Amino acid sequence: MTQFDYSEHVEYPRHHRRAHSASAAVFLSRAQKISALTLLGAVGAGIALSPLATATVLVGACIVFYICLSVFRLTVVLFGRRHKPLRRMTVLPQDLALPHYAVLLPVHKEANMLRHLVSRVSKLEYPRERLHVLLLIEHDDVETLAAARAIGLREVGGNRAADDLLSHLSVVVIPPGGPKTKPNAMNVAMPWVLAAGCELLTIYDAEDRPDPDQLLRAVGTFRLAPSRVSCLQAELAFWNDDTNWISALYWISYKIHFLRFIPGLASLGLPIPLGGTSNHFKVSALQDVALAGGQVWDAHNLTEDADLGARLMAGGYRIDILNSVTFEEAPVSIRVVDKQQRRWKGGYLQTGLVYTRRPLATARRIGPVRWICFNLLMLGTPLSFLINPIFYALTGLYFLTGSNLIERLFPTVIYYPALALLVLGNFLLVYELVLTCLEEAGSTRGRYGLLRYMLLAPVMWLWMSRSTYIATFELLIGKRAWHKTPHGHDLDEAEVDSSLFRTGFALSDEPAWSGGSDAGTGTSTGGEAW
Amino acid sequence: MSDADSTEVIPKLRWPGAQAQLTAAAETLVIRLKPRRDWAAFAVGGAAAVLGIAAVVYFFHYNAILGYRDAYSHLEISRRVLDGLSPGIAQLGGIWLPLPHMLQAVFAWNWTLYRTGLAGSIVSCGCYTGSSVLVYKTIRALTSRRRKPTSRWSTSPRWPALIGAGVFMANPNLLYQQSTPMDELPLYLFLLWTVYCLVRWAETDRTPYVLKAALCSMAAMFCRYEAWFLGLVFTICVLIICRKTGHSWRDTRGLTLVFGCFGFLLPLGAWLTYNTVIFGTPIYFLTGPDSSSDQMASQQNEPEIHHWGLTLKAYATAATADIGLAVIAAAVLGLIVLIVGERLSARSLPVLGLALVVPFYTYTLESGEEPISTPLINGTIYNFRFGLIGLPVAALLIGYLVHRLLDWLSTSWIRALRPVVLIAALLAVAATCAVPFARHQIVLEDEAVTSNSTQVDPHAAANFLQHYTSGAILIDTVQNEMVVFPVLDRTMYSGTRDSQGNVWNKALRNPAANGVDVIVMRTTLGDRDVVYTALYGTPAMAAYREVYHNGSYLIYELKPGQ
Repeated sequence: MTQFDYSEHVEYPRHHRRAHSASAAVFLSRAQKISALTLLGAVGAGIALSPLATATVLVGACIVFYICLSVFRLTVVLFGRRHKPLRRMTVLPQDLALPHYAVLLPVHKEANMLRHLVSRVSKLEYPRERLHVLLLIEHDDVETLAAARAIGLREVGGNRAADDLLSHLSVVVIPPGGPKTKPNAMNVAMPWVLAAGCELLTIYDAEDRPDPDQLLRAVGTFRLAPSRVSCLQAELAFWNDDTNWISALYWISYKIHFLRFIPGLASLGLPIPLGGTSNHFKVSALQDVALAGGQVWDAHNLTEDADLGARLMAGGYRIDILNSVTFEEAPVSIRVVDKQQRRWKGGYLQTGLVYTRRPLATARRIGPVRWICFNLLMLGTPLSFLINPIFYALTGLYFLTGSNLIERLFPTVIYYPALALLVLGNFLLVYELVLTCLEEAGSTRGRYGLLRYMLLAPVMWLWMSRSTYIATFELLIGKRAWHKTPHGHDLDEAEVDSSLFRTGFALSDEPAWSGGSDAGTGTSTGGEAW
Repeated sequence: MSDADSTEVIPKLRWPGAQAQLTAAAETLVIRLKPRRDWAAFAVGGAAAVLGIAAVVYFFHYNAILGYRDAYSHLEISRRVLDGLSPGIAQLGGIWLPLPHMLQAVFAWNWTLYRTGLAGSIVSCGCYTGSSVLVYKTIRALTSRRRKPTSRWSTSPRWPALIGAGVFMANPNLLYQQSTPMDELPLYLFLLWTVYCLVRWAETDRTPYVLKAALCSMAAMFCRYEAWFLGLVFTICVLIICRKTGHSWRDTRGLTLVFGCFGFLLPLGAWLTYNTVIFGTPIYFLTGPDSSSDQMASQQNEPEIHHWGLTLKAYATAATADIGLAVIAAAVLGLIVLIVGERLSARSLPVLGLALVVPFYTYTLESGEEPISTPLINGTIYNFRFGLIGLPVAALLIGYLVHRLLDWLSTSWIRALRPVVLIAALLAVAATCAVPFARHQIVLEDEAVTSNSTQVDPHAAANFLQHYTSGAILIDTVQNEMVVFPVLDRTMYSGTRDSQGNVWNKALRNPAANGVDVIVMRTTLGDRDVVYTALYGTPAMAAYREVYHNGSYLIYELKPGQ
């Protein structure tokens, strides 16, 4: 396999290398460790000297935090409802001015899905000579590499026959060495993107089903958008909304996130935690905000997309919404939810900690209000999931025992805001779920039958709290595993376009890939790192 | 797109973006078309506001805003939430439902607005204005005709809705009621809002209306207990409307669940929980002091109780006095026309559901859960305002009747009669309002003013407390609302708390040790209050001396130096 030297192909501005030197490779900086220990020491001393007063102060601090987070979320959602989508020019595939477009498809242990994935990507309406679809496969992922070879995919840079229907598809084998994560794989592919002269880039996951005209829509929107708009986030939605209560709650949470929350952040000009897939970037902007060493994505961050969104904003760019949908497959088991939430909540914590290492410098670069809002989102979201169970337990205990001690933790000045948050806050959360469900369920598979699941949301929130505790623990002990979400629960063979794949394809005719051969000789270290 | 297709398209595009720009512009044009505003609804709102404010000024001039004993009670609860010896949410009490008090509390913290009763008038008047607009909009929705199912605009005339709103707005008894701090107007507002949302949902199939309707039903359920019955009725309406509009059973279950949870079970559960937390029992509102059952315990010998004939006669008398015989007759005709004309269509069901409140009220009177008195049966007038609950639905039914009448006139040879009918209807509406005001014959005002004028002893005791005493006053607020009213901020009653919890029972055992400066006892034979029962003639009273008494009240003050 060809090994790339980044410095040979990529030119990154020096000031950005310095500015974005922060990465999640280190969990806590020295200053953060000292601050955390000081805070813990103060709380410990407080508990030793005056436990009730300290507990009351902590409860008060939590209530203030809840109020800030609630006001922030409410504001964002209200603005999201009023968000005006960007104007879009209708672009046809015959447009001679279409830019070269890169599509990154990081896949790991997805051999069973590869033919489906290739079929779906092949439905994208874009001139094949300008479309560069890169399948990113780890060198030791033997099965997926074999599956790719079996359907006739070639390694990037290889020669193709002119009549090959899969001429726009190539495989990038990720070499050993770096962390075995999705962002690392995308970083490895980046030089190929630049070498192909791509101006735009997007990312899809293995189970994604983007609208066929999504790339054209992105081009059309970029053409009419202000030049500062460097990224467009398409809506991610789930097609299996009615499988069970878990998929239904995931469906609604994505609807709120992509139709209310992200548009709200865009309207307010706040940093957007990108959705991981179906975000369409200007490649020049990615180069501009790259980390030291030229890496676009932080290979050590579990939510590298959230981190990249903030870096784009810090670089003076804007992110907005693309009016197009990519369908995904929702998790259907509580175990998968746990894995995903551990990754997301852990990633948010990592990102928040990265952006609070040099608070003044970062706030100056992003803007103080944006910085506060971003950290409220990145650190506040996992923190709220950490303290929710404590307050639920306190409420339950009070109802059961009428404890005077619990009463004393809530003096009047804390009691009324806390009561309002308990009643109004929880009510508004469920109200938003039900309203969005009523607005969106008419066009889904489960229709209004999904409404019954909305009432189970508090159960899901408690489960997410559990995952957040585990994620925090994992980060504290230095375990940063990429908990991979299994896909392909419900594969439809009819979806596969068999005409795309060569029949009677002989494996022995193909050149041996370095990754494949490595794997074949048993050098793979494997593991569920993605 | 295949290559063959593309070769046909490309020659047409001199510049690939030109055609696309046009398409995008057309899309933008469609998206940015905003719905036309219904200026008649604004006019109805404006007229209602003017009429409502004029009525408040009129009744204020005649000193009639504070008449009902309940009016004093509502204002006291509202003010206690924010002011007094122990302000807080627990002061909302467990008998009256909380929403009207929470709305009034916004104004009742101001002493002038509280003392004059205007704190309640502002809320009632605002609800009256909103209700008038909703009557108009509901009739519009109920009578709408669209050229296409997807059309946003109804082609039906506005006159029926204007006349229906007029019937509602111009009712003199409603105008009195909306000038008082009572909780009927908030109830009417939220019930009408529920009906409007359900009619709109049935008409447009836009499901977010179900949630809006449920929230309105929830608000109504936090206003008065009648709405609990209607919450259940509307839940059943949602189920039937779902089926009638072709929804599957799965959709029906989901939509009914949403309404049932938010519009019925949640407010019910919240109130039971609140009663449990504050008063230790979920059914305190049923069994507590001054609850309906407590009040009715002494009135079970009233002749109309468990006598359907007398009950119907009593309720019909009250309803006729409040709404007017002509309006009731027209509404009954409207009901028949609605049932026949709509054949129980989806959009007519919420209106029919609302109409069920009238038989429900009659049932509560017959079963002895609510008291009502009429001159012919009981010799007095009491709670005649219960008859007014039929007015909102009567206005809707009359609006529908006028709509069908205009329809009939437009298709028959007597088309020329249409303007005559409209003018006659408008004149009739104006007359129903003007004549009672001109004669100053408004039944509910009479009832309230008469009731107030008979309360000589409470007013005298209140006057003494206000001008000749100082410090904390120990008083049982049940049945003593008029005494408490001007000295509310100093009263120590069954809901007063300190940092150690409730002080009422401690103060009843030893008032001097618990900071009580003044003690008030109701001494009426057969109706003595808790303070009298607990303290009169006991050693605990040794520290106090009598400073005032009249036929119904004894007032004690802490002896100097104690």
